[in-house]
Amino acid sequence: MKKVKKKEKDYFLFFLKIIAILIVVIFVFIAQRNFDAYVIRILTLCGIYVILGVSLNLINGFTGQFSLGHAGFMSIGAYVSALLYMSPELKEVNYFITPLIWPFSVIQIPFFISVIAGGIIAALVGFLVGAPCLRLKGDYLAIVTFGFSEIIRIIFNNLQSITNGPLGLKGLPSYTNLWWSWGAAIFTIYFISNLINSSYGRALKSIREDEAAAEAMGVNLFYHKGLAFVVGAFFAGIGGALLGSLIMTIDPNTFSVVMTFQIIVIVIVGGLGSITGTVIVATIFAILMEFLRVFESPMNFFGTKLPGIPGMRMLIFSIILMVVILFFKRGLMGGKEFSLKQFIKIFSREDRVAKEGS
Amino acid sequence: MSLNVFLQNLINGISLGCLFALIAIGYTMVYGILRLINFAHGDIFMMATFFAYYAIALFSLPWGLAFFAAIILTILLGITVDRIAYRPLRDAPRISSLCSAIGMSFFLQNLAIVVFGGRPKPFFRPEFFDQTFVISDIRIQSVSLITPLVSIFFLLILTYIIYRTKTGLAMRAISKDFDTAKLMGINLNQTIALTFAIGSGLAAIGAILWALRYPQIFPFMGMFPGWRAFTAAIIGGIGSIRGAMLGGFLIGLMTIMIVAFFPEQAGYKDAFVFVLLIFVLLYKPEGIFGEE
Amino acid sequence: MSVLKADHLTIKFGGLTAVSNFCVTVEEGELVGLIGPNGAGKTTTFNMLTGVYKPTNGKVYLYEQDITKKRIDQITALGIGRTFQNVRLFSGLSVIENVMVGSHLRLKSSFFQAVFHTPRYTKEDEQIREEAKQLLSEVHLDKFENKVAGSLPYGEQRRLEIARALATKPKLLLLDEPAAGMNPQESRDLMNFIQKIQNKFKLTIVLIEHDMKVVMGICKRILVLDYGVTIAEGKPIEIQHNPEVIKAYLGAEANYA
Repeated sequence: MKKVKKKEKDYFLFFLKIIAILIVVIFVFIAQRNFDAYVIRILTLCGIYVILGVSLNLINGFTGQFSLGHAGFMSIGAYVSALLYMSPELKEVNYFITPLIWPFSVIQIPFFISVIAGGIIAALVGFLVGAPCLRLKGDYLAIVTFGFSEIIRIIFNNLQSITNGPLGLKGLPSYTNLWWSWGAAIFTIYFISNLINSSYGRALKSIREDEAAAEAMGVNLFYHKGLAFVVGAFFAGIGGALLGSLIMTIDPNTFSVVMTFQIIVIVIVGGLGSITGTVIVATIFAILMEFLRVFESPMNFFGTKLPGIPGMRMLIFSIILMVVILFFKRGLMGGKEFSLKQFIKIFSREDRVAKEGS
Repeated sequence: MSLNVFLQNLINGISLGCLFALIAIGYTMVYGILRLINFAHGDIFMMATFFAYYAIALFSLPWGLAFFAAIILTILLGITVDRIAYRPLRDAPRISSLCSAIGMSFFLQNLAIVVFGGRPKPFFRPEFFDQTFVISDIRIQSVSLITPLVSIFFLLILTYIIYRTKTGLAMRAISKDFDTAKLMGINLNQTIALTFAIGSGLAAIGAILWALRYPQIFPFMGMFPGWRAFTAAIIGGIGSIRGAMLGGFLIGLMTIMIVAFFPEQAGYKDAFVFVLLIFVLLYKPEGIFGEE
Repeated sequence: MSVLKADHLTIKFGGLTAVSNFCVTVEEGELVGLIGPNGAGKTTTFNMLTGVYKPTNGKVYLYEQDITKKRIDQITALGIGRTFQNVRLFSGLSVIENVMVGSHLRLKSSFFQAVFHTPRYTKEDEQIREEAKQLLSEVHLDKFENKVAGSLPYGEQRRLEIARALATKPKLLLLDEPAAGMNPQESRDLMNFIQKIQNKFKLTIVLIEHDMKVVMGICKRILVLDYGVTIAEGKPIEIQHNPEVIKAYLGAEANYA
């Protein structure tokens, strides 16, 4: 009897997921046709933040390895992909001080493949970064990963012949659109949530809970921590690549520690270890960021003119971050995922209470 | 390289090293007691420079008073940061405190941008610090001489407090064994607050000397010296005050010498600091005087 | 072929020799006890056997294979399972997830098969879940399958730890003070349980216990450690009357008749 019920539940959940994806697809379709470019751009940014947030959550939240290196992976994804999808003419224009080295100067590859390549190289670096971090505990891991991220930034700032140094790359073709962004976001959510719900996911979570016990139960720490970093870095690279083409200009400081902090804020507020939370907060974050921009330019407040306050957006976010850390230690979703069962439980409980009351 | 240039760099290196030492002590003391890396320390350093700047620019205080006021304000800031961001999480898992420290750093930087503005401001350099002494081809700014003197003075006072007073004893006890110290009746919160006070105070002194030397102040200025000082604290052995001092000197010297000897690699000098930091953390995390 | 052979295992921490020249040969199906006063080095010995500590001297053989220098997870894969003196569960995970983690090392599906939930992987995952449920019913925790492990009462946490260790499909099971904190009745039940699983899963077991009473009943052979030195080895009845052992325990527990 129980087995039959489980199978039914599985099919139901699967069906639900398909519906969710269809809703997103339909929404994107409608949005592309009807919303204006500004709104579309924000929605595209939402998708990118979802990718960045979920990938960071894999490393920091589910595996418990507090990495501050995400911006570095994004940067690699952005630069590698740009170097591949930019046309040779565009490259010549950009690299006017120091010419770009061969073969990059002549290569041009379709956007899709460039982005994947960006992700793969980022994943490789993720492995190189994750490997030595195996035996580091909490704070030290955070510092070493931060250090790697900064080293990447500084190297990119100095390798004129490859990255164009502090000048950055301008006039990047705008390939990223709502389809790419949310398509990639859906794939990211699919991949990582499937990973988390598999045996490998349990192994990762066990590392977060108690490393020594996990090892004693046969979990290869090196392999699994490396796995988390590689997968996390891969998607961060994808996110970075998509971001690059969206904002159409990148330089080494685009992907600075400030960017890492933003993603960290998203992950903490959404809840370390909750994909649902990350998706919700990432979307809100991108929207709120734009909405709060209103405070940064002069505005008319009931007839009085208020000057804009630059930097207000980030300040508000930092306050939200502190509030969450101090009062909602487990984040928005309390570290849990959205589950149909819980959702239904809320309603049935209310039902019961109502009955008892009468 | 001629002897003169070498000596010039040496003096600069020592001077810079003192600054890093002053800042590094804040990191090391807080880590020693709370096992917490106070990411916000570099930003407290930054705030000190702005306190001093506005004390002079807005309130027209004479520089001596302004610097003094800035130090006091920074000490209060340091204690407040502990009170609101770290004290509530004393019993929470380590990762919460780590996030809180990062969050606090983020908050202070953005607060500075909003309140002070992102554009760099020129720090005032009173005449006293602006003298240049020329000794056989070597140009020494008075600030380069004052820095080591002031630093050593305060470091001696610190050493006295730590090793010869009851409060210092309490601090050492807490860093050795948190729970037992609590049982022995040591007032934890007060001692911790004092630790932050001392760390922030020294950072403020370092900040003012830094701003006198590099007179551009801006909200993100705490990052560069912050990470250097942090590396210094790690190399010297985090938790050890002697280590922080020694580490500070080493990093200061190293920073100047690398640029002096390898000017083409100057762009990478920050990367060297991080490479060194990573190396030390991976292979000798206890540092030179390390205890764990 | 012996299951476990420890050959003059010694470990020094700085100037202190925690365990010196520990030797034992355990045959298949045996239930061996390792006892001694607190601080005698029992857990340290377990840690050497499982790869947590690398011994300063000596070797460990599992089915005559030298495992002294192997990683902890490799040793588990080769067939040694263990529990901890202070329960170390994955407190944030559910009860059944804790047990399923133990099965991970024997997973045959690849990473990508797992991520894309291929039929092969799904079948294996089902199997793992079934086996976990069975193990949970062995320890009478099947009703708490989805409860958060950290919320279980102490005694049940201990049983969960055993179920988790069993999930790794060990040939040799090392239990570190499994009866700690239990009253006499609970301890007796636990000992019966241990014997039952030994028979059911065809295990060889080495048991650390501080409480002699508990161990006398089920162990056929006992080693006694004191200050890292093996001071006696033999049948329970011999150990009980061994003057060295009595001396070592004097001051702790004199009454165990």
